[in-house]
Amino acid sequence: MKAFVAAALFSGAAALTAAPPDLGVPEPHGWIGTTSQWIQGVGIFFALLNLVLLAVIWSSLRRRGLTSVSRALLFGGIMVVPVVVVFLATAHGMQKSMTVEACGACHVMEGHVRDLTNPASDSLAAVHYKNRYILQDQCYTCHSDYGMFGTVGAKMEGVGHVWHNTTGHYAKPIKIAHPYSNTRCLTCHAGAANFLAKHEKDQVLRLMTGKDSCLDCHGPAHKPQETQEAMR
Amino acid sequence: MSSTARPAPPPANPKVGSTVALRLAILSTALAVVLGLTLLIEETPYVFTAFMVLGPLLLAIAFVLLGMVILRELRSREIL
Repeated sequence: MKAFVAAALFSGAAALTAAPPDLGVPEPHGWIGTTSQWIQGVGIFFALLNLVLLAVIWSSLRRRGLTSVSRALLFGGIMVVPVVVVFLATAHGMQKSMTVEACGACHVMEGHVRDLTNPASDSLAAVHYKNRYILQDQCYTCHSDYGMFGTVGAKMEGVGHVWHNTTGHYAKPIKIAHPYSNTRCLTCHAGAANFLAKHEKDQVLRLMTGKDSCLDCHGPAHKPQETQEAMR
Repeated sequence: MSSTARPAPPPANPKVGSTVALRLAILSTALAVVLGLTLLIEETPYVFTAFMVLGPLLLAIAFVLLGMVILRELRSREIL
């Protein structure tokens, strides 16, 4: 039991002390990890605890049958702790599925991610990335609509992407499924001083109503082919 | 025509049925937790999709099985 607790604490601590993936900046004094790291650490602890609990119940059922102790353990091991584990794993999975690494996990997206993270690229996505206009989850921020249904829609589309990638049912070069909505750009840019200074009033109105696309002037958003050729 | 009545089969032992159901519930929960643990340790789109589809389903199966055992026990004690 002691070894289990030590292993669980170690795995939790390892998750909490994991270095941020993209920054060389030292953590501030008293840093105790992000919410996401805590969710991961506590989730691993509860998952291991649950597996031990289930093993104890299994063995107890075989040796002594259904006793009052095993009944209490069954309730905890099947109805309480797994709910905590599933909740924490879902929260962790949701958070991690928004990262650039998750989007770049499919081979077909490697060119886009390479262009995004290429400091020499002048594509719209790369400019946003290298200047840290968007701090994290850059793919997700620009490719999901805002609000609850935007998140749900993005997750449903993500399941479709996994399916297409697994079955290989997609045409190359890959293209965005729907015309890119100006709302995604304007959620940050509309009302910004430099946006208002650089765009005429009627131009702003056309962008707001979707008659013009931001990408007409500021595109292309990605240059996966050019980055790939430059790296050869 | 001989009327040789077949002997009635022995009544099923409810305790055996309950034990099997509980074992299935434990296995189902363990599988859901292992999926969750895999996702917590190393998140990939495939693991995440598998967990989101199978995790709650396996847990629901475990809940139903445990609920069935609880109901059966309450009925056998004539509480319900």
